[in-house]
Amino acid sequence: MSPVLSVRDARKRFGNVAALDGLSFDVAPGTITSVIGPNGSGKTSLMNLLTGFYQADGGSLRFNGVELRGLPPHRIARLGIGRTFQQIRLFADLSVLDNVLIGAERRRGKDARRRAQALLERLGLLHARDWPAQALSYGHQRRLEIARSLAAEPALLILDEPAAGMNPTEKRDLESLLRDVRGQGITVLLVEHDMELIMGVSDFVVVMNAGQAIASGLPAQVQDNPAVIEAYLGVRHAKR
Amino acid sequence: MIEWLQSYENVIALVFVNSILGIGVYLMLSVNRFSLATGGLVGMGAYVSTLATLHTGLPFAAAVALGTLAAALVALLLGTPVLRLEGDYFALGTLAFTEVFRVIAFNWDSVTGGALGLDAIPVRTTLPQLAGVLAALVIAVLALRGGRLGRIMEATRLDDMPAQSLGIDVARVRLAVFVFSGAVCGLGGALAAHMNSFIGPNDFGLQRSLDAVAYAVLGGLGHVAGAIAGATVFTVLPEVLRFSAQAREILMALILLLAIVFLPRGMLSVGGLAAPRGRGRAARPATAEASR
Amino acid sequence: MNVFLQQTINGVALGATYAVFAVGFTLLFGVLNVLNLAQGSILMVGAFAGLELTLALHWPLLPSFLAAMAIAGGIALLSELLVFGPLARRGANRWMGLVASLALSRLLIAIVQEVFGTQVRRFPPAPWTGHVWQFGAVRVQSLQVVVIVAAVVLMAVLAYVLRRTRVGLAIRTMAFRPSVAQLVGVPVARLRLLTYFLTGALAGAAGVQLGVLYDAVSPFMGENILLKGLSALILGGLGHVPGAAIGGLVLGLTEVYSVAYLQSSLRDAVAFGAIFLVLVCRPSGLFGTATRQRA
Repeated sequence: MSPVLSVRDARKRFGNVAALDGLSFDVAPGTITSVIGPNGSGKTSLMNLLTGFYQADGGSLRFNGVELRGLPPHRIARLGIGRTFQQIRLFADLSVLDNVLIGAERRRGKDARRRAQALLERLGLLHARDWPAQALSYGHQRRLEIARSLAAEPALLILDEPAAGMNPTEKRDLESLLRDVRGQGITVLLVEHDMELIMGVSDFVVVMNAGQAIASGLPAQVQDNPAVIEAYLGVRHAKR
Repeated sequence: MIEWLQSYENVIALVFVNSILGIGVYLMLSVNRFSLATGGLVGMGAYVSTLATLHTGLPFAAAVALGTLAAALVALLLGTPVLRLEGDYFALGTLAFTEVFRVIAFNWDSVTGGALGLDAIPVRTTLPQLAGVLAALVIAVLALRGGRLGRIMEATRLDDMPAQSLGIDVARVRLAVFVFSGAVCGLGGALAAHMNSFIGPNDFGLQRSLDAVAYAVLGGLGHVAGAIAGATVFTVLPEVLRFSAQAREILMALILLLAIVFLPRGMLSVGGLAAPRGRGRAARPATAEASR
Repeated sequence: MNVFLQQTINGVALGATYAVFAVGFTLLFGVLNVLNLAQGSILMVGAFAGLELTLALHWPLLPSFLAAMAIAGGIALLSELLVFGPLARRGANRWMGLVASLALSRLLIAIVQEVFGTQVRRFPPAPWTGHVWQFGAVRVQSLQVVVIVAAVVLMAVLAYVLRRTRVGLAIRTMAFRPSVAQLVGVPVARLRLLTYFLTGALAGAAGVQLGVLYDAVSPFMGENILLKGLSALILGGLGHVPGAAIGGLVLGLTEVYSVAYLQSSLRDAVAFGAIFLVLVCRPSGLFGTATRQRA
């Protein structure tokens, strides 16, 4: 099966700093693939590169065979890639329903309102549909952001640290939501720090450090990989 | 008595024209861009329609249409480079445009009449026409803002990044709104020119742009009616204060300042009109911090 | 060549006053994200204050100058206390602040007009401003030298305050991240007042300088200067203090050259056309950085 996302030798510099230094990995369709790595490893640069907010200096980024390099963010979104942001970026002044409607109306068809309400119901937010988005609890706001992206019916959903600031209950809810999304046939690319969440929900894990992929594989494989431990904790810990 | 009524009619006509211009500014603020191009675009509509009337045999409606189109075209040409700029720089770019327009109008004697402007413009604009145009415009704007396109505009206004990540081409949205608002300004200018029978370059500078901004902002940005409310107050207040010729300017400025400080969300925030269902508060642009 | 040199001297003197004004203007923007369109009128108030003190009270020029700065700064401080501060606290949007500054500007002009009339007034000659040095065909007035020196001193003092004092550090922190400034204990409300005062004082200084240089003070002198200040701001990059100073200088020189070498009525078009080009090609100005760094 050909990968839904294929990154080859991606490069991005900011002045003297190489945020991405020849990164390569694949994302298989219908999986939850996680990208982890210590701070500064280039994860957020990768997210912005994939969604068109930064332009790559080198390499290729292919989504279902289509080259993403050089495309502006809205074109990439229309190809079928959705994303959420590290800091929640809801349309705070608008109602919960309006937020999702904006996503739902990206698809042609008259039933945007029905689809938006159905989505809200599935995510347990229908009761709040007329509230201003900022009235929701933190966990529910994260959920709404995901709902908004889902409403645009993406083939690939990129989530940038969706569990940040969540309590354990909210994280469990997030896990089951992610499985639900995968069950709908949507591929999920997850950037996260929470190891428990990663190990619990991922089909595949890519480990980044210093702008490159240093390991990849099943969660259990990656966990015991000495290179990974070294990257996170330093050389002394890798030599058990 | 007749004279009093007639001057009353002039004020109403001026309120209508200023409302139209205020709506032009309101439209751009609805996509979070602060435009000072109003002066130049109004001038475009005024001069082109006037030249058409004075030098060709074009009927009034056609001349006005020509002025409107000319302004829209200029908005398209101006908007394409200038809308790429961040909010503050965009404002300054439109400011530069308006002032350049004014200086060109001031100096191009052969075409614009230079400092003396153009006069003996036949008076063709009537009050019912102005009222009709304004009503049609309000209906058009309400229709625009109510549905799918209105939500796209809201997303564009509130936060570029998620809007784009949902597939909204914010640059294209802003350009389209800018061209529409340019047409609105041009229309206002053409109608005003055929009402006053005289136009001159100083009618179309920074001051004109700032006045239009004041109408929209003072009235409240949550609803198109705000621009009309603001234009009404701004236009009628000097007339009401006519009795005190000495302190008129001082009173006017003072009243405005008080209105701003006590109604920081605009005049319409009193009636709650600035907070329609589900839309939260008035059209506050995203704060500088939020968009870092 | 002589014409060029002469115009350069004139341009530097004029540019120095623009620089002083622009620096204040950009400082307010850089620190508080406020585009205060009343700055031009505050400049004008400073000019009138200086004028009245020398004319009516017969003060010598230097104390008048300093007092005018204090008065202009005071007006700016009042505007923050009564207008901009309350607006910011009530969550008004930026455009409302802008319209408020317009109303304030009109109020100041109206009051000055009421009190002093619309006639152009002149500064009385001071003993050390009447001197002229001749270098061949080039005339340098001591007045111009005084203006330039004053401008340089003011900007040096400002630079020192911003870079070397704790107050300056606090101001720069506020410019960078207001929320962070509050977190580290910067007294934001007081510093806002101080910043307004500083920018008002600079505008007042520029007002006196311009009044003396052009030998004319009128209630409407501020409007034109405002536009020039905005141009200098764009040239130098919004919020970039040294950039604004250089922008002001460039603007003064350009204005003087275009009057000398081009049709004078086109000089404004040249200025704005240049602004427009700068914006389109390099929106952050000649010196601004691409990211939203301020002050």
